[in-house]
Amino acid sequence: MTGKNDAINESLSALMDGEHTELDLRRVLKAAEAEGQESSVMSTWANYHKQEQIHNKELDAVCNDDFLAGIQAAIADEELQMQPPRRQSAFHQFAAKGAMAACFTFVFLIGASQLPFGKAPESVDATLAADSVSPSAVVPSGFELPPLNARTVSSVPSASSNAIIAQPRTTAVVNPREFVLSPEMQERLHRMIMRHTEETSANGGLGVLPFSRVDTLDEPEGR
Amino acid sequence: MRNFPNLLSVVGACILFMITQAHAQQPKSEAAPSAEFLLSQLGEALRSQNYQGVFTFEYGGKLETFGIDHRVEDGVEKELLYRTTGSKSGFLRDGLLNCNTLGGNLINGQQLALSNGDHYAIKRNYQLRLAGQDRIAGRDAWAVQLLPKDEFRYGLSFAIDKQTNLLLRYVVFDVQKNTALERLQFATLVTDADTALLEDLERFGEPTYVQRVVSKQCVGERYNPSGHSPWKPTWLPPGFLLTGYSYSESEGHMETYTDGLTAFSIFVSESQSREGEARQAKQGLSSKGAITALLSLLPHEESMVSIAIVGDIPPSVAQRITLSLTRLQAVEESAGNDD
Repeated sequence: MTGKNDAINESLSALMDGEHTELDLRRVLKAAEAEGQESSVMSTWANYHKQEQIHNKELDAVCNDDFLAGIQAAIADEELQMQPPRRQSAFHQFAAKGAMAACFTFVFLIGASQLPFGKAPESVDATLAADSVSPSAVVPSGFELPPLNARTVSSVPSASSNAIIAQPRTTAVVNPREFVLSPEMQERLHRMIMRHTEETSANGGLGVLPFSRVDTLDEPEGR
Repeated sequence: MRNFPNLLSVVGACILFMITQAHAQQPKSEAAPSAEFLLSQLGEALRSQNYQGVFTFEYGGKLETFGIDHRVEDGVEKELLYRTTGSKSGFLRDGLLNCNTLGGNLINGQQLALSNGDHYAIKRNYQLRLAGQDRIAGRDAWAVQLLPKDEFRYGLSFAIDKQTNLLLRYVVFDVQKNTALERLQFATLVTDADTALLEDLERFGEPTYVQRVVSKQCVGERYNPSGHSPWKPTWLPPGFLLTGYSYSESEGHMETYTDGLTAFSIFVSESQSREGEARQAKQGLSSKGAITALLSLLPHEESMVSIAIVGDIPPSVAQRITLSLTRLQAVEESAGNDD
């Protein structure tokens, strides 16, 4: 109970200071209604007003003790003003809706003109841009960025450049068997890759760049 | 009604904001070139300009770095590619400046006249598009994508330097799996270098083992390959043209095909059947980055035929080519019987 009175007093104080909220006003009015004609809340409020008027030398101000009715009337007027006009011209409604539609249409046109089209490139472009934002990450452009300590290019495990992993293939070949490469075959494979790269580079348009794919060359003995 | 002017103000501000944003996003004085034009400039730049650089090569979780030196001296094109990680090795090539290669012509946008009267160009198999801009090795670049029009080849992405039209980044990706297979990207690029070629070799320690590689194969505008293997594929992915044929005791018959951007080679070696050895087909697959190597050992008549498909093509394509290989003599005999 004491707490409730403190809250009401605080609300009264806030009302006098002009720092009240809607809750403060409602609290005071509710308390005054509950107490009826002999409301101590209203008498206290009235005294605050008189003191303020004396302080501000507003002695001629009419002090209307009927605060409750006056405040309720003020609240009623404010609510009436906040209500939207019941009638709005059809033209204004149409113009408002049309303006909003035009605005959104314009936004869409501008935004769509900036987007690339095409199925496959969109997914590539998204991560291409992302990769270029983080140049320190060793990850390929245009694709999902794995954690930095993960593989860079391709999530598909690939054979080591120095070890050939033979995998059984399910093909139309009769009785496919696992191909275990002998060291001689591995050496032959390396030579074939080298010859293929030579041919590709000699007939291509990228110069010697394809040789980046070739494994480390063994330095001749004695050098 | 009182709120209508406020609403109009909001709408007007919204439209004005969008106009300014759209204007700000457009480069004021730079018109975007076409992907075809950029690609045509790339080949010429790589061939005729002097440049030095260091680039990374990534594949399958590995990263290697290389240096490259390209210059033209007295009409002769000199190219040097050397490792800066691992062994002190490299590749050196001399060539003529005005040597047009088959792949170079296709990258330049030229159409090749085929023997059947048809014409071939890169755009037949790739969709070229300008994918925007980027900044690589401290240089502004255009991003060009080459999207395959079928499932028989990989996609490519180039970053081309705006100032010099040189290549700054090269990515090979599997469109089907949306996965990058390998990436080559420059970290530094210097044009009009003053240092001599040998100084680049000395920079990375002596001795440096450098292997000379074959010179460029100069071609004209008409497609006219010479030589062919007795083993021919009855099926080829569309747009691949034979670039050359050779034979060696160690690797056997070799034919190389290219569509201008990617290539594969077919190696066929006929071996004597070993007594007691099970004559069963075997296959093995290896890959490094975008390179696929499919080795097959197939029985043929009284012997075994060793077939290898090496190239930057999907493994399924390599396998299909392998299964379509037929000895030319058998085809000719079959045609004679039909007559």
